[in-house]
Amino acid sequence: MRTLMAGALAASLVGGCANFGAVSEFARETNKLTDTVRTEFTQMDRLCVQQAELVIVVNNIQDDGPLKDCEQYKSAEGRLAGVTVDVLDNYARALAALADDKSFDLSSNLKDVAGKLQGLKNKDGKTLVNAKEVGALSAVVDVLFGIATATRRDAAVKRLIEETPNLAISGDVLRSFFVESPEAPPGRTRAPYGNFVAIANSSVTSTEISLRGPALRQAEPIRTAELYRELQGRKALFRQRVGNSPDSVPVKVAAAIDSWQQALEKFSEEALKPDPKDLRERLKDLREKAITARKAVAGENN
Amino acid sequence: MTESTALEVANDGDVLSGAGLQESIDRLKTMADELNPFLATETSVDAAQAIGQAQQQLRSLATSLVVAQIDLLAGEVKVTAEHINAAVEYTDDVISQIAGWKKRMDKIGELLDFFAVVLTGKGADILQAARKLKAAVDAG
Repeated sequence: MRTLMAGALAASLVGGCANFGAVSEFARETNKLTDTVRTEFTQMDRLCVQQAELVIVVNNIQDDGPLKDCEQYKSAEGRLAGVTVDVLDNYARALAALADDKSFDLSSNLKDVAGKLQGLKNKDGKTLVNAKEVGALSAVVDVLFGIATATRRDAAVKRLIEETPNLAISGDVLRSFFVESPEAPPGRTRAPYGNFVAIANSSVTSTEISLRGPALRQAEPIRTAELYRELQGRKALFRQRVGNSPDSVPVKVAAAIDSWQQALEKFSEEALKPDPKDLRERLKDLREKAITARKAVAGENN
Repeated sequence: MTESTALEVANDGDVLSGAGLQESIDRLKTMADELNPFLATETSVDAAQAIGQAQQQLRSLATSLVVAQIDLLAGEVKVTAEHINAAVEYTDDVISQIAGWKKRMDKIGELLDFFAVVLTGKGADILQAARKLKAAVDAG
């Protein structure tokens, strides 16, 4: 475990010229965003498994094929979007620690990120994302490791600010998981999230029709009615995740990421200024968009 | 599904990716959805479950293609995503015209067999499987 301990002397020297309040605030909002994305990953995993279990029961499937499909979705997250969230999360924690002049724990979490980045290549060494994306994520990770041994807070924050272009690329990577994006990895025509949700939603529709169909209703009316009721709540959650309407979960998450990108840009310009007016405006917007996304993820739209 | 031009030879590094197979992903999902009317009317539990199982197989295949990265065997014919997409489109066009679910399931089974070969990345085998699929789909 590496730790950053800013010395009291260094802190007193930079304390007068650097605005660590803005750094702290940006770190907090970044962390809220990554939490929201993680929550959505968890939510989708849960919905997928619940639907898979219902499909197995309703269709008398003798293997765990539907559950394996959920594992495929999960591995798709882990390959890129999950790694990106880990990197941004550690970035936010580093900023927060610097702002508060506290120890910065870079334990296993960040080390795992480095390992996952290696896993972004297939068995023949072909990357599943382009060099620019892997390079951006790796660069941020490298800097975070460097920051952990830094002794001057302002220099460390400045070093993180220098990573803004790579952080912006990382934000693009995350966004392209949820919605179609010109910054998507090479050759991708549709966001993975959109594909998985569309397929899962199609399964929900078929299951609902099956449970309302004459075969199951006549054979086991009570059990079928129970399963049908159970499906309704999940159906609503899937509906909120399908497509690209302004009210859909992926569009709201993407809007929060866009707002974070704008705040990041201002952060790079004003992070250590005494009065970062524009940054505060951007952070206000980010806070609102992040709340909207978090509510959408939690199914609190209606 | 015609072979009007000679196929190229695959080199090291040639792959079929989920991005190129997006049309196939969409078609497989559509094929599953097109079985829904049978679920709404079929009165036998065994039949309804058989239809549901076929739908699940189509969706599982579509899911696996989203993250697919199929390495083509170097030195064999270079099958492209367009070839695969065309095969799926052709099959779906025929299947969607079939009135009975049992006959549809037979054709869907042939398509799933075809994809089992596609996932190996062996161009010559894929070509042979495509011919077999077309023959099965055209066989009334």
